[in-house]
Amino acid sequence: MIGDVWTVMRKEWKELLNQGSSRLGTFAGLFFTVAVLGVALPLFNGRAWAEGASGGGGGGAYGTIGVIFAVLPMVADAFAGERERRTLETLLASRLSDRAILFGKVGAIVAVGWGLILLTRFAGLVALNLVLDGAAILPGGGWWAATGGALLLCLYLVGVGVLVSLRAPTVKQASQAMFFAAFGPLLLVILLSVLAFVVARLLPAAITGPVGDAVEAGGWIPLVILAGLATLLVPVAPLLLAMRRFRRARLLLD
Amino acid sequence: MPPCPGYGRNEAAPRPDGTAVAPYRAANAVGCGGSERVTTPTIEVDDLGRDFGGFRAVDGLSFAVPAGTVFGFLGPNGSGKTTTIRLLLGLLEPSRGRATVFGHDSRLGADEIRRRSGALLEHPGLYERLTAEENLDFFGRAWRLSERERLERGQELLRHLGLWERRRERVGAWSRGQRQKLAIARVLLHRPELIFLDEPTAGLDPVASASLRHDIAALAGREGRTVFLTTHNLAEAEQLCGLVGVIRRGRLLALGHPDELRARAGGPRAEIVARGLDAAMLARVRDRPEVATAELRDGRLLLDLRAGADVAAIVALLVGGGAAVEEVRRGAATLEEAFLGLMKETR
Ligand SMILES: Nc1ncnc2c1ncn2[C@@H]1O[C@H](COP(=O)(O)OP(=O)(O)OP(=O)(O)O)[C@@H](O)[C@H]1O
Ligand SMILES: [Mg+2]
Repeated sequence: MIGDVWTVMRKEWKELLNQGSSRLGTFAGLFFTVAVLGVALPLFNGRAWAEGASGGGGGGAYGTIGVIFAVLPMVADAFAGERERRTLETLLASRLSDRAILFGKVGAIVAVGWGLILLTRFAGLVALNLVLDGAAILPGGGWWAATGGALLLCLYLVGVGVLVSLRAPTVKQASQAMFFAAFGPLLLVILLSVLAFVVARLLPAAITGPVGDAVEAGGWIPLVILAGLATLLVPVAPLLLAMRRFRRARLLLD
Repeated sequence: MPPCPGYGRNEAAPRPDGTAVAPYRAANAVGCGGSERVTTPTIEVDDLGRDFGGFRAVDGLSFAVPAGTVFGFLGPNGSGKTTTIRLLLGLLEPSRGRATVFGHDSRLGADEIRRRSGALLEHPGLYERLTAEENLDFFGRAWRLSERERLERGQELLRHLGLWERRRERVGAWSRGQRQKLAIARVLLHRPELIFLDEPTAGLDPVASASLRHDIAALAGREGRTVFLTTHNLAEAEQLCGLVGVIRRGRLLALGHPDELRARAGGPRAEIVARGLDAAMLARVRDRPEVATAELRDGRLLLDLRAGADVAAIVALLVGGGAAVEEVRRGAATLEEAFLGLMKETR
């Protein structure tokens, strides 16, 4: 099984690498991404990029955007592209299991997407240490959270992307549907948290007070556990659903 | 078992004399020894059906294909051939009935079926961004061939198909026929026991087609592999297949050895080329009991005969009437004529 997953991953990477008209273009794009997200931005933000609590003055957010731009087209290409280019049926007629095909494709994309993030994050650390004087700059909790969060985001996007691509006849249609499917829930989460924040401010202290007290008294521990579970589960939920849906006998019906 | 020379027509299938209806008595399915033995069918289909919405693409198919046979699955466009292959490979689930391949139900044991099969489907299914070599390497790994096997077998097939020099080129720029050849290499790479070929000679030039037919015959005749072939080239089917099934609108119309189907389509025929043929002579020929129909066309006398007809007597009649006979050819209906006849009957 592991060998089969690896076989699919290798194939996906080769296809990705040969996607454009030239490999030079692919590497130029990669270089540009690392230069901007991994060198220019950290230097612009200074020490706070690595040591700050927020994952580095927006460094996390920029990384996130990087992931989205890198991951969504790859998912569309790997799943809907296989159908559009009429290779899906032959792939499904091979001895590779459904799981090996799915995990291989997902693994290849997550490895590239998150790998890109890791590359920019570590390049940032190196750049800061080389350029700034003073004590060595080590990554803080925010940095690690943003880096780990990018992996969860990657898994979430890939999961949604796979679900959308399973039935899309072309890469173009998959990309469009995917964009909305991936951003819709993200926007909803952001909107809801803003709303919760505003509501909490507006509510009278009589209501918010006890909650605040409970939090201060240590009642926050279950809350943190709950939030932790949610942050882990929500991103992988689409992927779990995709695993159930990715069944040969259902893939050819278009 | 020593390899046997020649690539004769595959004889491992049921003959019209009825020696081989299940259980199949095939002339030794592996190699070309003479001993007869009973082989279990590689494919068994029982009342198989598949609907798309309310449309019955495959409707109550029942047939069996013995091991080592080239089975020709013939039918007009949209008759359900490709759908049947998808059902056999477990790429679609049947709506009714069942299909068993190597003794495995296609619903439950499709992994095992695919492991032992190779399939050239409607499209070559090659990765256009990869080179020929990379394509074969991927599929070789998918079937878990060792590195050495992948290299050796890949080289052998690419050389055989005349693609060796181009192995490092991306497939995307290749012509249709070249891709088709590479797809054939891909199918044969892991030496599958059962080979599905969905219109394999489509897009191939005449030389490549003939070479592929030669290979298919060898695969079944010499190596004992079972081939499930769909083709619109009926001469090809006639030449290769030990068993033929004709399908139309998802239903099986006929099943048998090509000779059997040809025999069903009509009795023996004769064509006599002669000078001095006239209407009176034609009338006398038509009067003879062994002649079903007779027709005069461009100085040729075309005869449909009844079984056991004596052509010599007809020639004598013509010569006696003053005609100068130059050539006499005997024949039977071709598979194409049999096929067209079937289509007409069931319109
Ligand atoms: N996924 C599908 N959804 C809906 N209809 C389908 C589907 N696949 C096949 N069909 C229909 O089933 C019928 C049989 O199709 P199939 O591809 O098996 O024909 P075929 O015999 O292989 O034809 P051809 O000789 O043209 O290749 C056709 O009418 C086709 O439109
Ligand atoms: Mg077809």
